[in-house]
Amino acid sequence: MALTKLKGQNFRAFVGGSAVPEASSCQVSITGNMESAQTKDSEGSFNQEQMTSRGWTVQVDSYQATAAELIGVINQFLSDNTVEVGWDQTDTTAGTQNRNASNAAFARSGNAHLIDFTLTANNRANITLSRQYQGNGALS
Amino acid sequence: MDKGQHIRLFIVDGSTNAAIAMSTDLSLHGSAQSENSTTKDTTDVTGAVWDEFEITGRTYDINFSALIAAGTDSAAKTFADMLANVSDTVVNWKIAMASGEKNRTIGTVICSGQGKLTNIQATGQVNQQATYSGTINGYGPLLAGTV
Repeated sequence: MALTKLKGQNFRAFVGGSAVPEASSCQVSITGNMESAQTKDSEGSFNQEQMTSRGWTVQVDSYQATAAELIGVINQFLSDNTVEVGWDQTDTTAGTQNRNASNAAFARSGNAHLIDFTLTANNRANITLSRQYQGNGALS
Repeated sequence: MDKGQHIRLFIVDGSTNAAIAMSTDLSLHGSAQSENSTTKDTTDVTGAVWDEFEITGRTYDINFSALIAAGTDSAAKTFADMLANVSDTVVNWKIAMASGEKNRTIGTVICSGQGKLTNIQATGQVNQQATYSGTINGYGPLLAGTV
């Protein structure tokens, strides 16, 4: 079966189970922390590292405009509680605004803290909101 | 979709909400410090060793830019007013939806708080508008508005 290419607009971040509205870009990062496990028992001169922990982040940029949406994001920032964050492929059904999750094989979600945001409101420009979520615990 | 001019920074004097006169740019940046809270008690049955974090601190700052007014405009905060605010005293601020004449009528408050104006930088280039920009460092809690 031939593979089809996924467009950026159909690779979307989801917060609280819903696609981030008016999103323009998203970035998912999973990083493993590596430690050298080299001992005198190791043979040869090449390093041998082991993964000792893993973390993940999701960055989303959007044209988020309404007061209610902005207040909601600020409340996420102020909360010590996590919110469900993930990513998925969305379908291209007309009228859905590319927001319907399709449970793609690469879809993942987990609990995360909103640790960074920037709201910009410049004259004669669209309001923009950038935010970064830091995963707290496992992705599933 | 609302545009940037519909969200403004207001400086609160008593009960008066004064917008920054002839403001052009505004950004609010919040940042949370998180610490890895994983301990030996953390259950890790899968062996996947996912990190867990807790928020241990928060900071925010506000950056704004505006044109320098040649005259005075008592209905708004001008360059002269803001210069006087560069001190160790806190100012009360609100970021809110704006409407009405000159987009200066305060509407739904998105967030508010107190801060210290830590920097003002003015620029006067020949054949260009004289401008200034400032930074307010958050002092104490950032308060979300209500819809």
